[in-house]
Amino acid sequence: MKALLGQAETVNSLLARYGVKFGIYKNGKFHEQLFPFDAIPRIIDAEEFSVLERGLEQRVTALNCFLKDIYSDKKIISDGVIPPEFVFSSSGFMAECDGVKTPKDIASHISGIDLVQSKDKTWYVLEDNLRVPSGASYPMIARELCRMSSPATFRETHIEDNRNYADLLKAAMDYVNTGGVNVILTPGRYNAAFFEHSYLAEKTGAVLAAGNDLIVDGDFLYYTSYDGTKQRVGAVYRRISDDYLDPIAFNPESVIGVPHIYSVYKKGNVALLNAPGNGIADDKGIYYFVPKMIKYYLGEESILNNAPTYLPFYEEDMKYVLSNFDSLVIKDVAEAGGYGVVFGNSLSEEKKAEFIEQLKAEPRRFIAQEVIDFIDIDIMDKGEIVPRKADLRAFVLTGEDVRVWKSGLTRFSRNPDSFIVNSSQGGGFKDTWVLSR
Amino acid sequence: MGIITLEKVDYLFWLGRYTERVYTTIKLYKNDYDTMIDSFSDSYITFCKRFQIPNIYKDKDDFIQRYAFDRDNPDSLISNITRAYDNAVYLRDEIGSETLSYIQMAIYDMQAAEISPSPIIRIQQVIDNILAFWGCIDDQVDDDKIRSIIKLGKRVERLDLYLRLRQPQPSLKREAKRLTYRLAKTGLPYNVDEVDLIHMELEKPSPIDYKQTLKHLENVFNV
Repeated sequence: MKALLGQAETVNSLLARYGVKFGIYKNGKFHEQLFPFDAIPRIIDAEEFSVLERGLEQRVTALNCFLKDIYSDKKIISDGVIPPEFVFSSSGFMAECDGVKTPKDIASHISGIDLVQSKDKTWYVLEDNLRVPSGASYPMIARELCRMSSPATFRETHIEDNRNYADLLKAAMDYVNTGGVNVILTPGRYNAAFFEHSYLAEKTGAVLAAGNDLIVDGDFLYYTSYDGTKQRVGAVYRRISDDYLDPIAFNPESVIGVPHIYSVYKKGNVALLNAPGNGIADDKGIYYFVPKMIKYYLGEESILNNAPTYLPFYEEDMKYVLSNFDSLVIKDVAEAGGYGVVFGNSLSEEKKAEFIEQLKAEPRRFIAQEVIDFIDIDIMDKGEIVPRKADLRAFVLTGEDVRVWKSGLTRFSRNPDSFIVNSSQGGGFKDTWVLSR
Repeated sequence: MGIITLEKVDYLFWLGRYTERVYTTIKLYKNDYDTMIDSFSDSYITFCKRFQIPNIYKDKDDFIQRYAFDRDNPDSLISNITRAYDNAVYLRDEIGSETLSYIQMAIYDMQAAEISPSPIIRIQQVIDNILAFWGCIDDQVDDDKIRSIIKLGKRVERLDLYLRLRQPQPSLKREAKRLTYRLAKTGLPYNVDEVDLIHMELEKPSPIDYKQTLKHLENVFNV
C-alpha cells in the first residue's frame, strides 16, 4: 500500500492523460474537469463483501419484481403494501410504460446502489439508482493505472479484479439483445458522464452513438452509415434520461433522442437498458418501501438496512419529523446529485419555519432520515492523511444472473465539514478493493 | 469492417486535418520564433500572409504569444490542437483510449509551453505527441476505413497548406499523389474530375496556378 501511495501523483497524471473527466455546468457554462482521485483505497474484506453481495442481489431482484408488477398487475398496491399515492403522484411513474413488457422481464439491468457504513460498521442503503447510474468506469480505469504504477502492491495484496465490469455489462446487453449490434446511446460530449459513455463503448465493443446516428425504419432500429447502409440494433444502453429518449413518445422538445425508438421497444424489437419508467423504483419516497417489497416479492427479510426513514405523508411520521427536525436530514424526492438535501440543524429559525410550511403543504415531496454518522475514510490531502466522509456506489448487473461487481465507486467529500460526496459538488473518488481472501 | 456514421466520418476527417495543421504550422512557427529571438525581423507578417490568416498582432512578441497560446484566437496553435481533441473525443470507441491520449497530452504540452521559459522545447513535445498519435493510428486501429479517413484529412490539409505556402512543385506532386491514393482507399464519394485537374495543374511545365489548384482541392468533395 505504501508503494502505491508513493505513486499517487503518477496515477493522477495517467488519469489526466486518458482524459478521465466529468463535466459540470456552472452559471450556464459547461466545464470539463478531472475527477480527483485519491490513491488510498476503500478496503472491504471478503466476508463483509459477501454479506453486501447477498443483500444487493436480494434488493435488486426485489426492485425488478416491483417494476414488473407496477407496470402490469400492481398487486403490491392492491395488496396494500404501498399506498397508491406514492406511485401515481411520483414523477418517476410513467403512464406510457404501463402494460409494456420488458425483455426477459428485466427493467433494471444496471443498478447503482448507494451505501454508507456507520461507525458501528453497519452498512445502510441511502438510495437506489435504477435509471442511468454512472461511475463504474472511474474505479475500473483507476485500477488499471494503479496496477501499472505499483505492481508490487497488487502482487502482495489479494484483491478481486474489477476490470471485468465491461464483460458484465456486455453480458447484460447480450442477454436481452433482440438481434443486432449493442449501442451505447449518449446525449453527447456536453453530458457530465461523456467520458464514461465513450470508455464503456470502447471496453464493451459496443457502438457509441448519438441520437441522430440511429433511425427507426419499419419496426426496427438501425445504426446508419454515411452511405446509407444500415445495421440493425438489438440493445441500447441508453445514457439519456426517459424524457429525452424519444420525442414522439415523451418530451417532444428532445433533440438528442431517437424518434419512435420507444415504439420499436414496445414491439420487442430492441432492448433498452435500463427500461424507461424505472424512476418510480428509485423515487426517494418509494425507497422507504423497499424492505417491504423484499418481504412481499421474495418472502425474505431485507439483508441490507435502509437508513431510518420517515414519510411526512403519514401523520405519525410528520409528528416525529416536526419534533425532531434538527436531528434529521430532509430530502426532496424530486432532486438528485446531492441537491435538495437539507440538514435540519443547518437552517436559521426563519428558514426552518419556511421549510416546515413547505413540508406541511407538500408532505409527499419530502422524506426525512436520521443522520447516519457514517465512518470517515482516510484521504491524502496536500501530503497529509486526513479523514473525510465517503459513500459507496455498488453496481449490480442483471442479465441471465444477478451479478454484483466486486468493487464500486467510493466517493468522498473533500470538505472536512461536509457529508455531500457528489462529484458535481466537488467530491473525489477512490478505488474500492474487495479482498479475495 | 464496421459501419461509420456521417457524423463520425466528419470527426475522423477533421481530426486528420487539425492534427496535420498543428504539425505543419508548428514547424514553421518554430523557424520564425528562432528568427525573431534576436533580430528585428518582422517575419510574422509574411507568416500570416503565407497562411492567409488575419494579422491581428501588434508586434512580433504579441505574435509569438498569441499565435501559439491565445484560446480566443481561432488560428492559434492551442485552438487548433483543441479542435483536434474536440473531434477525437467522440472517437474513443473507434481509435481507442491509447491513441486518444496523445492528443490529450499534446494539449497539456501546449499549456505547459505557455508558462515555460523555453516554450519551443515544450512545443516540440506537441510534435512528438502528434507523431505518436499517427503511429498509434497505424499500429492500433484495425479498421482500414477509419485509418484511411483520418489520413485523408491529413493529406487534404497538407496539400492545402503546401499550396498556400507556395511549396515547390515536387513536394506538391508528391502530396497530390498521396491524396489520390488515400481517396481511393476510403471508399468515400469524391469528384474524380477535380482530382484530375489538380494533377494536370501540377504536371504543367508553366508556373503553378496555386489559387486555381486550391479551388480544385476545395471542390474535391463536391459530388
